[in-house]
Amino acid sequence: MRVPGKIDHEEGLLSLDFIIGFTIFMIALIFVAIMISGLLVHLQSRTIDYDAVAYRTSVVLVEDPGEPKDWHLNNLTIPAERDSVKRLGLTVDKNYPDILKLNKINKFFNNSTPLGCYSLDSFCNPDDYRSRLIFGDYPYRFNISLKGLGQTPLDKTVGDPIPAHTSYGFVKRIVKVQMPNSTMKIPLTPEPDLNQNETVIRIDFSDLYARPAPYRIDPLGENLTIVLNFGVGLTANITRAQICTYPLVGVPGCVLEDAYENAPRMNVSVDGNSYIPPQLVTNNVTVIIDDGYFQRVGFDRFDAVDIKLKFVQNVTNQSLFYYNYTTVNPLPVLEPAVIEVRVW
Amino acid sequence: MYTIEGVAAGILMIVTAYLVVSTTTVLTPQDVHIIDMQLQQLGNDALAMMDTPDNYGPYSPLTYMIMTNNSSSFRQEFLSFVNNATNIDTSGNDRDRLNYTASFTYWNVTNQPNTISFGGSTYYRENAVKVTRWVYLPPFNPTGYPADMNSNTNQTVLLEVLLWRE
Repeated sequence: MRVPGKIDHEEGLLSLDFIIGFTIFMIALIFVAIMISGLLVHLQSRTIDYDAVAYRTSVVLVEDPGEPKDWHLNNLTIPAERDSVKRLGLTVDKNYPDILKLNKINKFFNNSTPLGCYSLDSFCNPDDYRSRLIFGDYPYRFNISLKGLGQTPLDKTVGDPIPAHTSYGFVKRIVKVQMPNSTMKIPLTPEPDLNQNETVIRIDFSDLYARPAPYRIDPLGENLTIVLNFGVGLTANITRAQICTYPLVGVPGCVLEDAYENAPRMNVSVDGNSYIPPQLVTNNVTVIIDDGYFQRVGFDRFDAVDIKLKFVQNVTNQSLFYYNYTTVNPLPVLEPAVIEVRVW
Repeated sequence: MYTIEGVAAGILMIVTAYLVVSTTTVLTPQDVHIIDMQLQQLGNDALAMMDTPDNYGPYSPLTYMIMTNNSSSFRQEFLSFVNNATNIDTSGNDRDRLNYTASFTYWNVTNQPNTISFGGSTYYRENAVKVTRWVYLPPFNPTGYPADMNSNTNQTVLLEVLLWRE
């Protein structure tokens, strides 16, 4: 509206052209602002994303014992035990990152294709690894490989072949693998004053657990081996092999070697043959207690047990042998290894 | 006339914003950080594992290396750790090409911090990361100590390793 006495450029009124132009500008600006969140999806560069996933996977692998922490003892042929494995970490203990447990490594890399894998004691590749290690909604492909740098050969891999023309996320970690050694050798020699027809080997779990996890003989999570070596001229007939609780409160609870048919169990062999009592021994008796056996029977880290091997003849004059860090030789050692995680 | 310019400007802004935002080849600072992070993680892992004894009881290999001033053993083991690969990637190199230069800082007899080189290669301003580790030394008096180190008491020295990819 024209005001008398004023000229046009002093009126403070906007022209129609400017209003239309400004409106279009504002609409465009609002449009871009709304679209910007969708456009930012492209900023999820593949390299960044996959590297982050690879790093996260490596952290779970080498800095975490997994959930449950002794998941390697689970029998994966049983659906409930497979389902109870929530996270696949490889360390010996949560306080010792980068120190891996060999039993967990062996179980972790033991995998099979999805077809029929649920009936085997192995992980399904790739489903179990995606849901228990890599996580995330996107079905990542992966390759995890391990190579020992020490004396023990340790080359393992799981996952798809590495793509030749696709970029992938990559992380390399340096670790040490605990090589469990838990063999106690007892020499028995023919002497004139043999007065015991039963060898008793006492294993006090709390003594074994006194050492830190990387250097520990773990009776609950590893095989224990006891070898009775018969010297030249000494023979005897073995009649019974059993494990008894200690201390003996009231009637001792004993479990015979044939209490369980399937693993984990107590395995006895005589001169390299299977044990069928009564049996003549000329060279050695070997007792291997499977990892997880003591948990199956109901023992924990504060218990103590006696392994009793009964013979017809006298075989020793020592009433009790102790299974501990002095008598077991060699002891667990750590060996370096490199582990690589690739995700794409 | 102004209307046409307004429309053109709006379209121009949308197209420009789309092109900028949707470009995937932008080298963002995060890319560099991830490469640095990988190197740093590798170096920290290597030092941590060298500082872990293989058997129960004795001091770690890293402790012994510093106590005896054995930089050649350190070089051999450190490069073995960081450069080894699992060889699963048959298309690429079977070994990495990382190099380093190291030093450690200790208290001397006059209770002053002193830094001494601990071997390694010459650094020519490559893109490098620094990893550090506090290494425990018992009161021990081997010949390899730096002459002015206060070795009558236990102490912790700061080991610094500059790590880069060649």
